[in-house]
Amino acid sequence: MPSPLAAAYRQYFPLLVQKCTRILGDGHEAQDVAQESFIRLHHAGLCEGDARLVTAWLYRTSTRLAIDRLRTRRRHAGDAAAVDGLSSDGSIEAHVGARQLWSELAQHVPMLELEVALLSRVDGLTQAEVAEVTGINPRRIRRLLVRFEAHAQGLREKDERCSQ
Amino acid sequence: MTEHPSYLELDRHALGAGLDTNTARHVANCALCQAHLERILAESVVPVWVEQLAAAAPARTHDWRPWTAALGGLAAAAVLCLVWLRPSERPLGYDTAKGMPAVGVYVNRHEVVRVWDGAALEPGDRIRLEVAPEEFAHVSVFLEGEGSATPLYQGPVQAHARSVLPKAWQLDATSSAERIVVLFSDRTLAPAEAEAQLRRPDPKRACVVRLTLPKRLP
Repeated sequence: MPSPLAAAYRQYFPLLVQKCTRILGDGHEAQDVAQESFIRLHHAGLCEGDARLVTAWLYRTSTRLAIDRLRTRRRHAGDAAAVDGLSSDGSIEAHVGARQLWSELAQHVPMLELEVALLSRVDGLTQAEVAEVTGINPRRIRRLLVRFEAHAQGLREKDERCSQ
Repeated sequence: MTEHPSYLELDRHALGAGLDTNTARHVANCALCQAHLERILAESVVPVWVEQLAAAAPARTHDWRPWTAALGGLAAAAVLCLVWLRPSERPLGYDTAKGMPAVGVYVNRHEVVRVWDGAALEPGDRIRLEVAPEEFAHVSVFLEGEGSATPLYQGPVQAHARSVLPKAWQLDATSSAERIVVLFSDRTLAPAEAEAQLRRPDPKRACVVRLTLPKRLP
């Protein structure tokens, strides 16, 4: 019979990897952040908790860890040209562009704003779901998203000026 | 057709939560949503590190106490290798005496992650450190060479909690061992201060843990 931790791994690790891959792309970084999130889940004693609460906890924790990871990335040359990637059209180029953009935004946008924006824009959460995951009231979430859009727009304009 | 549900809703659905009628209809007819669910529901093999974590690390309410695993006498300096931690009956913060910070090592070899057991590692292995800093609030990691220490990482850590450091390092084939030094301090240290603490740590302000990771060279 599998241990409770092994059962939790089967239950939650695949969604964690997918979640981290959406932000960080395929590869070691997504695996590392997924692993760290899972270890924290275990340390928090939540592995056998209610799945609804656990998924909210994992979304919040892994998003924050992924932001830390984005912030440690160095900006690659050419990122500036990728700022149109916010609304991904599903192509590989657009996905790569979107990830580069998030790396760029992570250098400039406050943590909470970025957290709410990633949950909303990358994971597609409704504002009610973002409120549930973050514990922030919906009105503040709307304000944070508006502020985030202003930041993203400012970055786009700056990069457009740089590329001219 | 309705819009895609959020990934959170899909993930919860994969874990057994129901969907409303419209969303269920969308998911049944949407190749993207179906593909996501298949990825989430794919059978996964539980890696060794999870079983080791289960065996070695009870969650919460338990404290951790370092094992002093090896005291080598190969060099003039003592090499203190704190390999892993074990639970104690005492809750965190049981008393105010300073405990000994500790470092654990995770090894990722061919995408299989396990807790380092002291065995020789291989070039290409990727390692990550988990630290238990006790009362210290800052950690710096160095690669120690002949008379030098190359900084690999520094950052704040939460006192009296364990944290997996965000960086991973890949071992190369240039030497038969890697000497990693983890410096715990009460605050961010300037390079000269860190160097001084590495040479002679002031126990009131810093603590040094040295790890020697032997490598099996091809």
